[in-house]
Amino acid sequence: MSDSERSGADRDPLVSVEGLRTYYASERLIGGKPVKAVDGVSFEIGRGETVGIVGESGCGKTTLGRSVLRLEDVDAGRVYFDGRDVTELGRRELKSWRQDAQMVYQNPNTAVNERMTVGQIVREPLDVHGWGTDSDRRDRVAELLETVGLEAEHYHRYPHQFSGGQRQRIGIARALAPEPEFIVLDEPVSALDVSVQAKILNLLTDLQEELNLTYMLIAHDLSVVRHVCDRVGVMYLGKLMELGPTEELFRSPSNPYTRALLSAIPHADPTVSQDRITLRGSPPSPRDPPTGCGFSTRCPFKIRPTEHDAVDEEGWTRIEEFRAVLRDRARNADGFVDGLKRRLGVDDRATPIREVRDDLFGDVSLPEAARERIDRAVATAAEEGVTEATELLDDAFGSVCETEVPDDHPTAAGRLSRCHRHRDEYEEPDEYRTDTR
Amino acid sequence: MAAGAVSVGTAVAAATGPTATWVRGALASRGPAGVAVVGLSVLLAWLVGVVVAARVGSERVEAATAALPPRLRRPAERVGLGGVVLVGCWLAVRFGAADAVHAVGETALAAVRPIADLPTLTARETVPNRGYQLPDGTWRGTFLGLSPAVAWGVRVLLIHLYVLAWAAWVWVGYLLFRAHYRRADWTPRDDAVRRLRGHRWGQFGLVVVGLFLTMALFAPSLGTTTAEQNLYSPFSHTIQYYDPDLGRVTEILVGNANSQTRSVGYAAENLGPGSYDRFGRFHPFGTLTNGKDLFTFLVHGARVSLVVGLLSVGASTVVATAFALLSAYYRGVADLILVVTSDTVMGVPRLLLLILLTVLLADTPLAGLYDGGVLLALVLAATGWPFLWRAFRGPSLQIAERDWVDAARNYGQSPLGIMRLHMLPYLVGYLLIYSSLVLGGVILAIAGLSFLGLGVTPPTPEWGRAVDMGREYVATESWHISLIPGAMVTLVVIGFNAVGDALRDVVDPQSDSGATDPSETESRGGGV
Repeated sequence: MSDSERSGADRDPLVSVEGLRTYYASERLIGGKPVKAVDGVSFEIGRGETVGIVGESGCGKTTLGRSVLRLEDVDAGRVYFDGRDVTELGRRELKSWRQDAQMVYQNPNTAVNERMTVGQIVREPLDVHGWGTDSDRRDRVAELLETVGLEAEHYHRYPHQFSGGQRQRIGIARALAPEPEFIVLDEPVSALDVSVQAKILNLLTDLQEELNLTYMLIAHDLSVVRHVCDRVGVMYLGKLMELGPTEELFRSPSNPYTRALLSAIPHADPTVSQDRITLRGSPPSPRDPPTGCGFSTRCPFKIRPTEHDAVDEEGWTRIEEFRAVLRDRARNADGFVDGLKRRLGVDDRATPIREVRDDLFGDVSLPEAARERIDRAVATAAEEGVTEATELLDDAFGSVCETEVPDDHPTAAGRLSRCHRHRDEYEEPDEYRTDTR
Repeated sequence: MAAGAVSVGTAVAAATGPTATWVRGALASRGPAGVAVVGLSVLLAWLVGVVVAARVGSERVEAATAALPPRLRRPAERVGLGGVVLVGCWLAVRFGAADAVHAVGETALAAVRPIADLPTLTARETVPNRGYQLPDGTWRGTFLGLSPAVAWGVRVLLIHLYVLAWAAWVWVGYLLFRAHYRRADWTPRDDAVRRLRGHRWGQFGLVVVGLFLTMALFAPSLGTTTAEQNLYSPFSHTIQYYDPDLGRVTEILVGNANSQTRSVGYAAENLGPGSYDRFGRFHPFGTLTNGKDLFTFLVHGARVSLVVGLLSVGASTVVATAFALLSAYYRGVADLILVVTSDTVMGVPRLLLLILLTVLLADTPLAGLYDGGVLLALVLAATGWPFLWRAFRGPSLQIAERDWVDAARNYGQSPLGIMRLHMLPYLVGYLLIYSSLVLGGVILAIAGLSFLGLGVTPPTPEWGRAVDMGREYVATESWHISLIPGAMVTLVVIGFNAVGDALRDVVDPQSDSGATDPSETESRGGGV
């Protein structure tokens, strides 16, 4: 796994994903927006390589893995496996391709059918694809069980009789049964004890070398990723924010989100003083992602309009908070019931905007220009509506981060990062804030 | 068992004749019935095709349809193969091969018949209880000259001991198999069996259900007299009795004897439980208003209730399970269609629907099968499946979410295979629980319908009709006519509900009636 000369755009990748989009339809009958679980992701996985996908929970990394395996209905984009477009496979071609691409699941308790014996579980893929004769299959299952560190005598046992780690081994044996080339590992160790985690990871590494497997490892545990992966992709809100070789990416992250994510890893050495980047709020809903860059609502590296250079750090924090409140209200005001309430004059919302302003800006000093804009927004909110006030604030304090979707910028050989700061006219993230790594 | 084979064989032969005639008529009329027949044939062709395709092996089948566009291949294979098989069968029947089949069937039946005629331990001929009493007090014709009551009691005891021995043999055999022959040293089912051992309420239910099953299975031997003689054609049979007026043994038609043994509410004309009539016949539960023996009536009625109940619950369980698996696996439109359909069926008051369907279908050949029992079962199934489907849908949806279902899809298992191997095994517990709960309700519904004069046609015995007959006499000497069958219906329903409760506790101890809400179906265990 550590062949580090292998990097970036392989000339002949095994898996190649182009502009993949997977949306979940809204539960509501009318007027609902789809959840954009995976929103235009492109990357390649070379033969024998391990690519990690990391991100907070809900960022779409599991959906990405399932979409690559065609377990989800993909809305747009292509997935090439060995040069063949698997999104276009017919029923029969799909069935035979499924032997080549397998998945290992996160939860050992639901990954295997508990009403079947271990032998039946591992054997089923062989049965499905009509592999050899009956006794061939039996021998192969016994062999597989030994390969993953179980015993052939476990054939007639039930999963109930095994521990979590052993169950995970059963799941791995089942994934290996049809002799796949590519395996998606969906958080394969996150539900296990730490001591067992290392054993399973070592097993997976050994298997990769022995059987020349290609892995896509989905994880939120960064230390696992660093230990195992050749390259890492960082996902946020359905988009790949940064992609690069593991060590380089961990040592010098380019993207602001990657920086924030990495700064959350605790250091073993308490004397190293490290400035953690704390992100404001929680990730936005993938049903209603921010315009422009998905990370713009929480980004500590956000590009700011030059006319408000005089505003200090504390001031910006307050301004962003104020804008978040207004945005929130504007979004709710779009709802039918709230609109009706407002029209009928029964708007029972707790704090008037004026008080929100006094609360936020009472103890900070803002330059005159900024303060004047905010006061105007408050007045507009009272006279015309919250939506208009939001637009006013967007005009005054918004930037390219909120209006344009950032492109993938190559930041080094084999590295991509999605951030406007990589454009020539702006400061690079590491120039902008030097206090973190 | 051989006797059972003979009777099933005869019944099948009897049923095919009118059905074939009806199908021919329906096709000739070119009406909706004809369309239904054609639709059913295509469905049948598809089902047969699925089986044949699985047997023949897919490569050969695929080669045959390679010219068709991919989307059409699979249905074409299925319907085509099935069609070939069906047309082959039809041609065989049309051009005389049927006679050969018939001859083979007759030979098989002839071979089985002598075995069926061998004397058995539990047959009524082994321990006869029918006889007459001479003035000196001795009994003639009964087993060892015992009184009919004692002879009958001996036979009942023998039958129950026989059943007990069988049950013990099965249980011991299971334990032996588990200890010595099974390859897995432990299965999840072992835990369920262990839990059942400590479940007293469930064991009570099992005993009640066991007694009910015995009653239904051994009805011809358990009755004090035969159904044919006492219930169906009393005017074609005679019995001997000692007439004290004439001073000698005389013969009398059973029908005439019955007319003198009626229970109609006052002491002069009433034969209560455990009494002898003047013809020397013993009536453990007394007689009906028409002088027939209540006990014989009830044991044969148990058979009718059980057959109709099992048939209807079986049919609705199969339909409900298939639909639950489909709606859980495919969701979306399939689920929506099923929700709308079942809600429509459930929206109509069930009793009205039952009456309507029973009356509407009364002229079809279905109504002739098993004295209307088959029609009744189908009508109950057609109106009852939505309730079961509701109960199965929740757990099915949960199971369809599990990773192993996803994994099966990932290694290319077919939808049918996933439903069968990875979803159905988790539903079996629910199937048993809910079907046993519903079976009690169906038995009650059958009784309720015959109480209203619908369903199984007289003179076929049915518990509800006995309750109906005795309705006027509940407060008189003849209280037994209504009360004994009523109490038995209640007991059986309680028994099936107890078994259902036990199964739930045993199969799924975590649920504790919390995970799924069985209250809907449970309360429905109570009636129509």
